[in-house]
Amino acid sequence: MNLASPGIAEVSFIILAALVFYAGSKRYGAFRTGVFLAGALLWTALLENFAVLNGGYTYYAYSGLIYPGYPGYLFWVGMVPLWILLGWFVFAMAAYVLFHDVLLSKRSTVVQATAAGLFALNIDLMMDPAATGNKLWVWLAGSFRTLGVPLFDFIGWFILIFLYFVIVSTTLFDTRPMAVLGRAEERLFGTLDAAKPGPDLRRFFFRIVVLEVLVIAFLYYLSNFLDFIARSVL
Amino acid sequence: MDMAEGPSEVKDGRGVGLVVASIFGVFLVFVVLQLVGNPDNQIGSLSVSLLYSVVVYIPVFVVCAIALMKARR
Repeated sequence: MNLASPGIAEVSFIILAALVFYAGSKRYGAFRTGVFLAGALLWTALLENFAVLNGGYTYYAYSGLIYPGYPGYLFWVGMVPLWILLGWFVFAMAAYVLFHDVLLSKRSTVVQATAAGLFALNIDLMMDPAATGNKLWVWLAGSFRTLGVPLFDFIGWFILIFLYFVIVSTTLFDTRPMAVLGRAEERLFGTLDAAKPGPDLRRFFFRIVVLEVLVIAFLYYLSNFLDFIARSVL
Repeated sequence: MDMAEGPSEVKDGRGVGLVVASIFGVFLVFVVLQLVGNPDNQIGSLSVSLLYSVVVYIPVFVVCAIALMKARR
């Protein structure tokens, strides 16, 4: 462990997030980019904090090492360093710009979101083993590990970017229904006016919260299921 | 889900270079972290070398390069 590692990661990701925010502002305007950022922070803060509280991993490997009482990172959102959440924003915004606007602009949202999820997963295949090796975070649970990283983490990366891409596409830049939430949204917010351009902030945050609960439940049971399989087979 | 066709957003190259730079920045950050914080590059029985980082990031580089070329047309 090098005591400079958490500082390097934290400062670097704050700078990268600022860079991506500026890029997003140039394309979509500061307001939409700000909502994109707020949504990304909410989308990931809930899941990350749940995972930490549930004993999946910890960000406190450097706690007290630099000086007594210093938790290892400067800025926190609950039990999760802010730079982790900003990292999710960087990947989500980058994937959105690349696959929605540039590479797959004529394809359906599902195809774009799938490519974005795979792109983020590819980044994590490089990043997570390096971060784990540096103890920027430490995995405490999870079976079927690859380079120290449990399998459900990689699945989670794909799902989180895929779903956030879909939410953003259908509420922030356009207004389109989501079949699974259509009736509930119609009762809560009235009939969807598809002709009206986004952002539809009520549906944006509603979809984040509802889908977040589903994702947390899915990953929780997936992790337990994989642990069960590992115990039975290995 | 009703996911017929994506909306017609801004399709020019504004910001694409910065986004690609940030993705390359992520790569550089973790290369530096590997060098300063994990010099033996050993996790369990597997070696996480700089070579691994470079090789596994090749698809990301390719995607970014194609995006840059398309955005500049």
